[in-house]
Amino acid sequence: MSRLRPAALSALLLALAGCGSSNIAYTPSVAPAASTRRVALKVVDNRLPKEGGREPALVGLQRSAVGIKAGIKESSPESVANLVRSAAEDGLGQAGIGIDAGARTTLTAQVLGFWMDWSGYDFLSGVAYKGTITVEYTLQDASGRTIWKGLVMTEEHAKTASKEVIFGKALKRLAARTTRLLKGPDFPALP
Amino acid sequence: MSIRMRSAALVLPLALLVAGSRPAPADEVSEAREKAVLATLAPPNPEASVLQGLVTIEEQFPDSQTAAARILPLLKDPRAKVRRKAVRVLGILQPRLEPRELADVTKLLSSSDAAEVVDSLKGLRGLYATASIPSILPLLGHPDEHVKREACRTLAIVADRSVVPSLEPLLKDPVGDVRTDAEGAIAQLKRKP
Repeated sequence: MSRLRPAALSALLLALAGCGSSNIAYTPSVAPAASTRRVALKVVDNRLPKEGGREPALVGLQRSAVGIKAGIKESSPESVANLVRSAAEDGLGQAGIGIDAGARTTLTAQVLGFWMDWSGYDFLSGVAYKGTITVEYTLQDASGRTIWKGLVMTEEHAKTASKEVIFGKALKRLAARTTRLLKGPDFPALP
Repeated sequence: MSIRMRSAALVLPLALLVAGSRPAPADEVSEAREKAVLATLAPPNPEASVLQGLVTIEEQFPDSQTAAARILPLLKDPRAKVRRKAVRVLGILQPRLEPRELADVTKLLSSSDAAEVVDSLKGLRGLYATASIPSILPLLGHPDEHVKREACRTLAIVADRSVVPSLEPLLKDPVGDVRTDAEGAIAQLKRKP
């Protein structure tokens, strides 16, 4: 019986690790910059069918030591869109742009990718994973005419399969790169 | 003198020296490390050293504001592996490229090495190079299936729904993965505003 206990405990721990009971979280920056400009923000989950498009809670693949794949999932199908919204709002805030559902211009954030997978194996450091977030921004005026487009892509490398670690960092970078993009010379003046 | 005392006599001055010296701020340390990594990219450094430098930039300095200028000349490096990694890392850095710099990236799409074309397509995704779309479209008819798949994925990111008719013939491709990537790209493009 005493021999069985460690084995049972290991099996339980593995099962719990596979369940992915925790969720990715995004903590916004402390204080947004003062905003004088406003946009309505729309987030559209437009991932590839096999990478979360068909099953929105799916955010990646984990591989066992012998290469068997298992899906990495969030608990809610809205999680990815909500996380990207939080990071985008943060990025906009840091660029001095406020969110207003009634604004005349609409910024659409298309989530084209939110995926992590095994990226290699190193004899010394073990397995490595890579997580990528791809968001295309489209700015449209009141008539629906596209007046600007931009893309933010972030890649995060880690020696862990933790979605919380990988996407936590990738989302921070998404917010920072969104700020950089919206402060760039190509972004048009907002009414 | 006991062993303990002798050890203390050795360790203490060292500890005092370390405690007394002002540690460099984290930003300065990071900047110095970035500079050292960028120095490994300069010719005539050996291939392994340049590749390791590019991997370090990709993983540790993806927001570098100075790396792109050092990486762009590597697109013309005589070593294929260096060119391939350079274009991938450029896509991760997402610099704002001048048209002639973008032309250097697009030129790699005409390589006879399918692996180099694949990496260039991946790089172009991050660069969001809409000007490169006319150079990507012919690759949908490339004999290599990996090139066709990456062309689908890159168009899904950088193009709009106007390219859907060019992708549709791939829905009948004999290779299942090509059909899947074409389907995925069409689905994404059709949902774009």
